[in-house]
Amino acid sequence: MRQLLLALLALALGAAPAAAQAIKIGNLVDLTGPTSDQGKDIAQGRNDAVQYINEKGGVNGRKLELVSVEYGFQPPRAVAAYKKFVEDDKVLLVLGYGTPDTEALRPYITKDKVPYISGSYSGHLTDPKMTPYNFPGGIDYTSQIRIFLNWVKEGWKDTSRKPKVAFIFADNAYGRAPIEAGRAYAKEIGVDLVDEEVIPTVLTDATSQLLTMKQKDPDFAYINTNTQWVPVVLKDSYKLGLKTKYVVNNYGIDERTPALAREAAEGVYGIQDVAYWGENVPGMKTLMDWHAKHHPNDTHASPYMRGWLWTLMAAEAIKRAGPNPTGEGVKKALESLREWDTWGITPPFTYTNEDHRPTNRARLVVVKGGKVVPVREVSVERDMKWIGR
Amino acid sequence: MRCGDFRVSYASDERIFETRLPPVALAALLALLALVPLVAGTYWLDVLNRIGIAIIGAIGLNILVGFTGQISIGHAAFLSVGAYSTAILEVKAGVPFWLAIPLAAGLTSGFGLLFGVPSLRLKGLYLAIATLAAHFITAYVIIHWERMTNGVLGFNVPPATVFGFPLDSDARIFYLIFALVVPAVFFAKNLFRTKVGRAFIAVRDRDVAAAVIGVSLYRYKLLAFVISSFYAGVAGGLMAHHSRIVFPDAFSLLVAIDYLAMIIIGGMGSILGSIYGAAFMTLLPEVLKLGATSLTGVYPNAFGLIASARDIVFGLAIIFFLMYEPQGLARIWMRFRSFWKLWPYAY
Repeated sequence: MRQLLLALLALALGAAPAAAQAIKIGNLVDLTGPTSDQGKDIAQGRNDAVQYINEKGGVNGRKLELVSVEYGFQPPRAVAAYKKFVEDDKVLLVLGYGTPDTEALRPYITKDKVPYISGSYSGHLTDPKMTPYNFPGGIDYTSQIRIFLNWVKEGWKDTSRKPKVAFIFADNAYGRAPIEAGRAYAKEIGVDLVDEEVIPTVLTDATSQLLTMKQKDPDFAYINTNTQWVPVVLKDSYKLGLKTKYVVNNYGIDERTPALAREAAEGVYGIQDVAYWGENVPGMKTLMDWHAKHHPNDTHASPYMRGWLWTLMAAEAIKRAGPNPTGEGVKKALESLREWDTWGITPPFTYTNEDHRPTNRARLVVVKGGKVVPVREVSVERDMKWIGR
Repeated sequence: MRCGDFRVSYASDERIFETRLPPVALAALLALLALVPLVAGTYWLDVLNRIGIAIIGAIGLNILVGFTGQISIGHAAFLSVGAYSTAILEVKAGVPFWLAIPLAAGLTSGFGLLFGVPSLRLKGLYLAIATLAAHFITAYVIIHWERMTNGVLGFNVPPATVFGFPLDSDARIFYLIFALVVPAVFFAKNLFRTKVGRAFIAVRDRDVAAAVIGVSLYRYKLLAFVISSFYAGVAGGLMAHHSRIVFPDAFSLLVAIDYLAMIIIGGMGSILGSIYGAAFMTLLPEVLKLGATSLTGVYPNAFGLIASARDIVFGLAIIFFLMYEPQGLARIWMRFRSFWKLWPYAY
């Protein structure tokens, strides 16, 4: 009897490794901090995409497994999470999150050779010579601010003076990421940067900043903070009767903005990296079907699409890296993406071993009649001069 | 079985351990702790390290709030001064860490002295608000003194090195942290057997009475701030070395509240309580997180729900302790111990 039991035990132990082990992916999200407006949908999107991929049979016959940590947008907690991912869970790659934490982790990521796809599109993560394992998951903030400045310049008809612009940005690494490059680029193309206003990460009132800005009277202002806080700026500006036209970066404006800012949002422009919920792009039907089948009672905004996008991208890279993927292999696979179709969620992605900016194209959107509507596609040159800045 | 105090000489009255078991148990505990890094994974080591840092910080706060009765919600500011001065001394001035941590702690003491001055005139809620000012002033300076602190972006701190041996993993930094936790606990424990410690307690219980019997309020209130912020300085220096980033958001007002919660839950005016509180407050979110992670297999959205549950559980725990066990975990442990000591013949 005992022998039989031992045999069974041996069989059970022997059988376990035979079934292919799941590939672990680190998943860092903010569900409680100042960027939870993005984080909740991103986390949902990543979860759904992993389940979707696993239902389709996984990647190279192996299932994906998300190892999730919530960090409240606090870099020290992100560092702790990262250590756990790399040393305990031995994840293959990490789906990262914000700019402060991703930038702080740069030296570790490079040392540990862990591909790190981040929700942060900071220009400081785009130069493979400095950060070979960082892959920003969308058009970088520096390209976005260049698009804004080009757009201002192109539309400017008054020959008596140059256009005047202002930057309004959150007081954290995310808000500040493109500002230095923006200053340099404005100077280069001949746009007058007349004012910079720093706003707190968690914003309750922007009146004092806007009153200072009003004195400088910029024609355009670029807002670099989160969807949750942009309406505060817009409402205060509306209240104070400013004439400035606003352009908001990709994380500052989405489907929810008109409902949050009401009439103050009218005529506000935005630069957008992903398709909106329900928009007519090839992959949207899959997402909407998934949503209808698994959680029909909630609503989603563009961050949900980003959650899917980055997970699909990770899966594609793991697939290309072959049956025994390593960090280096996945990095090479990501760098082999050429005009890779993201189900139409974004313009096609291209990473190379010289340039980790996935695309140079985005959409210009505007709030009109309580809805965000696309205006046209905008793009900027892939100028190597702006890489890593 | 012992059933009373039999002190027949001054030597026996001044003994640290009253029976023979505690020193043996303590030595065994320390030996066990020394072996932990050999077996524990990085994740649990990280948690243990954070507990160790929190113990030092919580003892510091308990000396000030629990023993001397001076309410402070500026503890995050003291921690940040410790962390930033350690990091700046090492990165900008090239001071080795074994010198930088005590220097930074000394600097934090001076800072504590400065912000302790209002305590000479203010009490209770008014003092709390004055220390709140310390918090905001420090946060402002850290964010705006960019040349030194790199503003909101913060900066990376290289690992501490001992004889060219980098303390770059959780297992290695573990020894540094606990090498400081042990003397920190012993110093605090002994402090309250001395004139200074007794004076602190006298100030807490009734400052006017203390002054009447000759305790200099001026001296001891400030001294409490100095000792407390020295502890905070050491804890801050270790934080800088443990997370290896210094960053203003790591020292938000919530951190100060967390530390107050630690000493409330652990036990005000108890060194052991500070240890229990630090462990409780650090472990609770981790346990919730583990629960959430293990539930995701069954219910994928559990993760999101439990992330928000953390604050609710903290709030409920604090209400529970304030109402039913104001002396905290330390008191619960004491009751538990005396129950088993006397069992089955409680008398």
